[in-house]
Amino acid sequence: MPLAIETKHLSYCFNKKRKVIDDLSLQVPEGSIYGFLGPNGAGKTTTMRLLTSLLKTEEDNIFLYGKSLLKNIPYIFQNVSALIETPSLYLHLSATENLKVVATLRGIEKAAIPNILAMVNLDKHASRKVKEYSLGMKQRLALAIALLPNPDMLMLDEPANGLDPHGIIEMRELLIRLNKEEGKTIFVSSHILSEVEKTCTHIGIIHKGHLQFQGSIDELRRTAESKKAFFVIDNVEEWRNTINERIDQPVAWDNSHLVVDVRSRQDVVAMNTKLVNMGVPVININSGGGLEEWFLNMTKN
Amino acid sequence: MFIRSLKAEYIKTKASGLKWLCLGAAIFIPLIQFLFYVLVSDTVYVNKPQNPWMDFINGSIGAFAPFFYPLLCVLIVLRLAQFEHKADAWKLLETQPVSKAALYFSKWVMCILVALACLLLLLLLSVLFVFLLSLINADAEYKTSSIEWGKALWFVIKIWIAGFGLMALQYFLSISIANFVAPFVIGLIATIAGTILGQFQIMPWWPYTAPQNTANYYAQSSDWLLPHEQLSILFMLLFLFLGFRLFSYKKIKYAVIKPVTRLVGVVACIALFAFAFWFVNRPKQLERGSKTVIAGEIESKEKISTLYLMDAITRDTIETIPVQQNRFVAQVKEDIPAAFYYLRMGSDMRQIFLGKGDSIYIDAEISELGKKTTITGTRVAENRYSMSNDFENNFWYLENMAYQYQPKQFAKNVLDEWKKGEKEIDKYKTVSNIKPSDDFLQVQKKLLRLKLLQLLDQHYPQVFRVYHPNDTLKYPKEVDELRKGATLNDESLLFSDNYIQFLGGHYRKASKAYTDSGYYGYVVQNFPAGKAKDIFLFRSLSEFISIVPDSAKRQYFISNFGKAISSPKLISALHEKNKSLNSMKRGKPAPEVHAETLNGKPFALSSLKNRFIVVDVWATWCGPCKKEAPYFKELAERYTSESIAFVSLSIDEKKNDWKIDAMGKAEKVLQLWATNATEELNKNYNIESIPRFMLIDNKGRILNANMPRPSDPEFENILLKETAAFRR
Repeated sequence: MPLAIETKHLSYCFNKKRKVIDDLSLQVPEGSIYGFLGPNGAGKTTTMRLLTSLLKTEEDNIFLYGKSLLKNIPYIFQNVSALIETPSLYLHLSATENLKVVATLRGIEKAAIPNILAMVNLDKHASRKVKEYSLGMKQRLALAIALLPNPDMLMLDEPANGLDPHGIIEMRELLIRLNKEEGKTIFVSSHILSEVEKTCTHIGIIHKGHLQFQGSIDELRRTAESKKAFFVIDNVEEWRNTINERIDQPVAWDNSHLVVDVRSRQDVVAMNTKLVNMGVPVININSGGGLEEWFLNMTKN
Repeated sequence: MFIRSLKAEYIKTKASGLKWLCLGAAIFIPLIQFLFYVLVSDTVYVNKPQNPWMDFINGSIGAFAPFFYPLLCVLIVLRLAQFEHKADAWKLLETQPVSKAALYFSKWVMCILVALACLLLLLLLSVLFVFLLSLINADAEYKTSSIEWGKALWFVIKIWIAGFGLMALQYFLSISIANFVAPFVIGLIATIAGTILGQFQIMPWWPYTAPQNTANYYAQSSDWLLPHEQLSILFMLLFLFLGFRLFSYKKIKYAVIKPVTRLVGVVACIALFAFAFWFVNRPKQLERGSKTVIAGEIESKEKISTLYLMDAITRDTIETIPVQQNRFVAQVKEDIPAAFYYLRMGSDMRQIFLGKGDSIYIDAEISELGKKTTITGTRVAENRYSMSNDFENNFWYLENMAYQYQPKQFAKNVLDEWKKGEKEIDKYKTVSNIKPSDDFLQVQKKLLRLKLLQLLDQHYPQVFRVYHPNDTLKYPKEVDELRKGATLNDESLLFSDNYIQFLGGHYRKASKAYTDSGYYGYVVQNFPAGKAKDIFLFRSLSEFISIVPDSAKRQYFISNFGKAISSPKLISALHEKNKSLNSMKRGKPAPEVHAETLNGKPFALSSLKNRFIVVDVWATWCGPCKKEAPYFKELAERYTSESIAFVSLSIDEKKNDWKIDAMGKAEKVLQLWATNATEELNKNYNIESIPRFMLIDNKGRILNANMPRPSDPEFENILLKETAAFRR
């Protein structure tokens, strides 16, 4: 699959002591929604700034659509839009005028502006000054600006910031639609796994400048698929010793829960069958840990 | 791409407050000026301009340029740069398919366009207000003159160009510093510093002073761009280069040092700037040709058909220059040495410095409102120097406070003044960086030395003798250095009154004579023969005889000592002078004086026939004259009658100066303004100093051409004695 973004052993440091980005080799396939995941301070925004050349490296190791970024600035932005950190908006202008600035700069027809505003649900506020906007509205306007030139790829830095739950869902749907219907590649950073999990086709996890994981969402699931199962048992104290004696594999107790290491769903079913056969009253099974815990573990110090 | 970027910049200026900023800045000064003219001017502003339109417009621009314009530039640049800083939009712009050069320079162009728009608005509002003023004010000058659009527009554009340097510096700061306080504070301080520096003419290259310098020098020079304007463009190029470097490479390290090629580029650019800076600022001395040419333009209500170039001392005509349709051009055939000469233009006499091989252009405006002469050409620096530097007055403290100093301290002060003065002479250059020629500078240095020597060896010894009668005056050895260069027969200095005074002082001291004839005898004997002797004798004798009232005594001095003069021309000039002095003798007919009354009607002194006339010759700038005025008025009130008239005759250059002063003065005194003071009154009556009081009898004959001052009781005695038979 051709790559929309590729970095080869990208490193960056603000000062000599500490590398902010260390040996990062990203591979973002064309047509994917790539979730770039990591806790705060992991180096997500720095990576984004490097990918858009807002931060300069003198090395030629970033490629967009197979072309060297270093050599193709600024024309590479013909079909790439980026929205990094806080929205860049001229507060003294209206939404339409903000879009006009970019349209003029790029030499785009201004006729597209109302449609774009409708796409992000700002058509009713088109002539209001941006300084009166809420954070969520600003975020949506910034997205509109990024969408205006109809780019092949969008780079979005935490686009859900400041959006209300409804807005988050809308944003999610919009991104999926753009990806599905228009085939746009979307590179989106986030620190919330569940958010990424719901939209992305591919995921990269960064922690302290290192890439910890990269692959499709299925690969991720496979790797991270529940390692533990939690069995909630009625009258647990009656059964504790019986279970300890009769189960032929290592078990642990977490308060009143029985914790069992599992490798697959079959393992969970098998264990459940055993317990039921023994007459243990199983009330509930949680496929514990999962992606969330796995992600937390991975990004722990 | 650049145009697109510029259009985008324009969209951003919407609703940004820039329009209000410009309007506010542009309306302020024309409005204040308008209100001043309407509310205050009737009493204060009496010297009416010849072209009130241009006066108003230039006044507005000139007042706007020194402080408001640089500050406005700072604010415009700051506002435009803050669009991106405030919106955090650099990252938006830099991720557009637009080159950094287009982004950086389109914003720059926007900055200077806004500044230009503001200046044009200022011009337009000035025109509007002066138009309103012309509707209110019925002065005829509004009808006879009109707006010179080309000049006004060029003035504005020069101010605009002068602002480029400071704007580029501010642009550099405002783009590289995200916070708005720092560039603003730096700009404000630099502007205030600029206005102050401009006042004292220190560091004329300071970019924030450039608009002020343009406002100050615009009228003085016909240069396309003055040096400080050229520097403004150089500063612009430098700061745009550095600013763009920093903008594209973000970090100083990458913009300047790494890799080495960039370092080389920056160093080369700075070196180039330094060279250009030096080149523009270097003083120039003008080359002279083989022909001596005088040309120019003359604007005058009086019909002038011929100009006369005259020797400064003998007043001999060297060249007559015909004037045709207010223009003249002539070649001086004689081989004239570089010196001061007089150019007579109608009733006006102008001193100009000129020599063989010079080409001089004279732009003269002569009217009853005043005279204005601009001299350009190969002697521009010399002529401007002699207009602006009058060091004769600079040593008043050495002269008047001499008694405070011990000899050692006095000598030290004199030597300090010498060094300071020489330095100033060497440093002098015009606004176009033109230095006077070396021969001229040498003469100036000699004059300085002489003036100081006069204080040291002629003035101070007298003071010392009074304050320390028992001591001998001893100076430290260092003063010999000053004495060494003084010569007693330097032809190049003869034009100078100071030199004549110095020589006089020297010979008077050396002659040890108590009488004037003893002194002149010594001079005739000891002054080495030559041109210097001729001129010295001529000048000091003609000065001497004009204070000798006795005609026999005058004749004695002229025939005894004047004969030592070898030039027949000078001798006859001396006789001429004596003749005019003799004509002031009692009983000689009083020469006619043409004058104007306060109503603007012509008036001839002879029309007061059958009355005794008491004449007070004065001028508004003359302090002693004003002191005498009340005494004169008091006498006029007592003695004015059908047979006695009191006349105050002003020799002011500007009629309006006289009008302001004379208006509302005592009715008994007839207030007159001499229409041709230099050529008629001064010459015929030999008026060398004022106040001067004269008495003319009822037959139009001179009774006393040199009365005592009215504050002296003798004045009244003479008046009573002479008019006794005619008073009732």
